[in-house]
This record gives sequence, structure tokens and C-alpha cells, in this order.
Amino acid sequence: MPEIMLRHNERGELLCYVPKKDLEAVVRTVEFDQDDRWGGTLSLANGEKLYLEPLTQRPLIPVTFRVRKL
Amino acid sequence: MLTRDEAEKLIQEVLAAYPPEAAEDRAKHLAVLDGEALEGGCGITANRKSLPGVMTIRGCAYAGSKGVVWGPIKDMIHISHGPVGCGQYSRAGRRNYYVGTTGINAFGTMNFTSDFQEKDIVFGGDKKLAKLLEEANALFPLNKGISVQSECPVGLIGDDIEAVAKKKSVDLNKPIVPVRCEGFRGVSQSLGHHIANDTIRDYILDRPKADDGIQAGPYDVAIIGDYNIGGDAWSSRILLEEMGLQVVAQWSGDGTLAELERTPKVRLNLVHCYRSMNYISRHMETKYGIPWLEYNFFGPSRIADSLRRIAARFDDRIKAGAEAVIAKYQPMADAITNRFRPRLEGKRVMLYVGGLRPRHVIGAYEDLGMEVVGTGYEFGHNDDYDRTQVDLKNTTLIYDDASGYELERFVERVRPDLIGSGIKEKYVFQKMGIPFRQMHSWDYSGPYHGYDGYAIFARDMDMTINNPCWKMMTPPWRQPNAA
Ligand code: SF4
Repeated sequence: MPEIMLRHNERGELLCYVPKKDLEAVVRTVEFDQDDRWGGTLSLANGEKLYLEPLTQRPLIPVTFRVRKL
Repeated sequence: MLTRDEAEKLIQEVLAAYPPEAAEDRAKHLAVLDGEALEGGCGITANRKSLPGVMTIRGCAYAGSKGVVWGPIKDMIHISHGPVGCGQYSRAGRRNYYVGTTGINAFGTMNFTSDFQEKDIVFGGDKKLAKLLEEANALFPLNKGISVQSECPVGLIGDDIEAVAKKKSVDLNKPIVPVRCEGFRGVSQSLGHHIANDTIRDYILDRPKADDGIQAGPYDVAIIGDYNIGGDAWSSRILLEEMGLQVVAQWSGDGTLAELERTPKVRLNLVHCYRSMNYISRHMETKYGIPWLEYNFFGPSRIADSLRRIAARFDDRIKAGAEAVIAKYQPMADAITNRFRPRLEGKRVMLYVGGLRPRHVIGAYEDLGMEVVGTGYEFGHNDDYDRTQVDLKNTTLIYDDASGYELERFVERVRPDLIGSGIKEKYVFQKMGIPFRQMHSWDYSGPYHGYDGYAIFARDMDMTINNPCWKMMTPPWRQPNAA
């Protein structure tokens, strides 16, 4: 269960940071991207996929989550 | 500048000297930059273990924590816990300037060590550490806190420095921070930065303490990741304050414990050295909602650009302030450029340095009409290379954790007009007849940040490249019987 930190970069894209690996990558897609359901599979620009248990609302970014590696 | 083909051939030539396995590994760390490939990064492998047998110029995790993150906090005592050498060799070498009276309320240039002997290794050093903490505190009662920087043997014998620190912290009633930065952790000093940042988070920022009652001002900012080498943070701070911001904390050059504690109340963290302090900036962003911004104060173009980007995060007053600062200093910067550019125009530079400079100084060289033809990090990570790429043009040589052999071969072929690297490389290249600047601690000069720093930077580069001494020696390749 790696920990990730989500933030926006200067272009407004969602950035995912994995402290353990010191990896920073843009989140290309979020599976559920609605106001009442957010999360699911996050695909990163480097090809990795992470799974975040869907939330019942949009998270306030910046935020830290535990996710599963897919 | 080498063409793409020449540069690629050069890399192949260099690799040919290694046994096949080593060559395969080193190939991943060398690249010719292709501006087209911006999307996927420049494809260099970084932050991997150095290859045994090749000369690396990396430092250890202890160096990252003691030398970079904790060491410059001036009103705390930083104990090098272990044998005497690590502390002695890392003592004040980086010239992190500070104001204060050494030994009274500032301890930056002093060396505190537990000086492990054989019996400490055999029986453990915890008792010694407890005694040392008491002694240091009795001798220097005005210290605001103590950090324990563990060296390799402490980790190897498994001393419980956390327990000692916890107990003594209560006894002495001040923060005592055990930092598990044994040199063998990680592949370079980079992990030391991370570990040190985490201890600041756990032992300083998250420490329960009575609220100091200070209200955050609307323009409070912190300078993060400026180590005040030769006074860098001061020449940066002047500009920020002139544009109307209030710098309430400097991390960590000339910084104090109180400043660290106050940082979670600022409006914006201004990060200069991303590599060493991004961890704590990210923490403050998620925990306290403080945004952070990377900036670059080398050379007038980057300074102006950074001032505007910083100002864009604030109101019109600050934006006007930034413009006023740029307008005020631009004539001075232009005068410097006009004076030195004719002497430096077209000169080619190769860099090989640490955390931020391989990319941050490129703008300053370009302001002087110089060209950076090769650059590399000792301990950068992939994102550092991705950030560097933006600043470089095509066919620039990139090298990660280069060995002495690789650097020498590159330099022989590229024959730059100037090399900027560390002290270990300095005399090798000078003897090869190539002007050299030590770009870790500015060759006993500085500051190089800010407009004031630009004046010194330009003068130093000119003084080095156009020094008449170079005419008095014949470099190896000009000697008639050169091999
Ligand atoms: S690697 Fe270990 S012994 Fe060597 S300087 Fe670093 S902490 Fe000291």
C-alpha cells in the first residue's frame, strides 16, 4: 500500500508523488471523476496504474492517500 | 558544440573501456539530450547505486543531513555521533554564512562529535551520547536544541539513539532530534536530505508546543532550500523583501529553530533547491495547505522570471513591487552583462554538480552569452533531469553520477572553455589546462544568487576564463608527443 501525495502543477494538471520512490508523474486519467464519486484507477504518465478506493466526494487537493499498485 | 552523432559516438567510446556488464549499466546514465523527447523525460536512469570500482564523487546520507539540511540551522547544536572523521571533514566546508556569535548563540562552524573509540563500538555509545548531550548543553546553554546525526557505526551496532534523545529532551527541556542518517543508507546524500526532512517534520513541526500567538501576515513567505553559501540567501532575501514580501524563515542557511517552527504559518514556500527540500514542502502543502513554488535566482533573466512568478501568487501590490525591483536592478544587471559579455561570449561550459545547479545556473551563463554543452548531477533523481531538459538545447551531453574517467574523457573531447564542478575535480582539470570554477561553495567566493550575486558570478567567470595563466601552460593535447 504505497502512500501518494496529490497536488496540482503550474499547468493545473493533477500530479502524483510517490515518496517511497521519489517519483513524480502527471495523472493522465482518473476512473471516476464526478463530484459525488472520485477515485478508482489512476493512470500515471509513466504507465503505472494505482487504485484508490473511490471516495464519495472530490478530495481537497493537496492530499495524501494510501493506494494499491495495479 | 558536438553534433548529435559525435556526442553519441563519444559515449560509445567511453563505454568501450568498461567490461561489458559495467558498460551496460553506465550506458543508462549517459545521454545526449534530444529536445524533441520532452514528453517522456530524457530517459536517463538516476538515483541508482554507484558502480563499485568506478570513481564517484557522491557524498553519503550523513553528508546530506548534516552538511545540507540540519547543519546550517545556526542556533542548534548538531552532534556528529560516531567516529571523529565524518564530522571533522564535513565541518563548515560549505561556508553557510550566518550572523551570531559562534559558541554563544550560533554553532554552525563548530564540530561536536562523540568521537567513538573501539570500546564504544563494542559496548555501544548510548551512555556516551547521553553524557555528551548534557555536557554540550552545559557548555553552551543558549543552544535552542540539539540534533544527533548518526554516522555509519551507530547504525551498524544498533544503538537506540531515539530513546536517548527522547529521555534527554525531557531532562533538558529542549528538542533533541535523532537523525538516522547513517552514511550507508541510500545511494547518495540524497536520501540524507529525505531522512532529515522527515525528522524536521516529526520532531519540530509536529512537536506539540504552546502556540506562539504570532499571527501570519498576508505576505509571509519562507525561503526553502537556500543554504546561504557565501551569503546567497541574503542576496535573495533582499529582493523578496523589496518587492513587499516578508521572509519569516530561512531554511536552512542562517536559519533558526524558531524560524522552522514558524514556517507552517506562511502563505507560500519558496523552494530554491528542490532536491533537498521538496519533501518538507510537500508535507507542509498537504498538512497545512501551504503552496510551494520553485524559483531560480541565478542570472537576471531567471531572476526577473522568478520574481514575476512569485508575484503572480499575490495581489497587485506585490506584482507592482516585483516590477519595481526588476526595474531598479535591471540597469545594474545590464551594466554587468555589457561589461563581461564581450569577454565571455561563445565560451562553452561543462557542469557537474549537486542538487540544483546543473540546471539553475544555465540561465546565468546564457545571460553572459555562454553556452552549456554538458551537465550532470551527482545525486539527482529522474525528475531533476526532466526539469533540466527544459533549460537545455539539443545535443547536450548529460551524465548522471559520472566517474572520474568518464568526465576526463568527455572533457578531453569536448574541450570546454570552463568547467564547473567540485573540489575533487578542480586540480585534475586545471592541470589539463582548462579553467575551472568550484561550483559547490563558489570557490571561496559568492554569493551567486540574486542581482548582487550575478555581479560576482560574472566577475568570477571572467577572472577564471581570461586569466593569463592559461597562456603559460601547454595542455596535454597540445604537447608534441601527446599520446
Ligand atoms: S559513509 Fe559513514 S563513515 Fe563515511 S562519512 Fe558517511 S557517515 Fe561517515
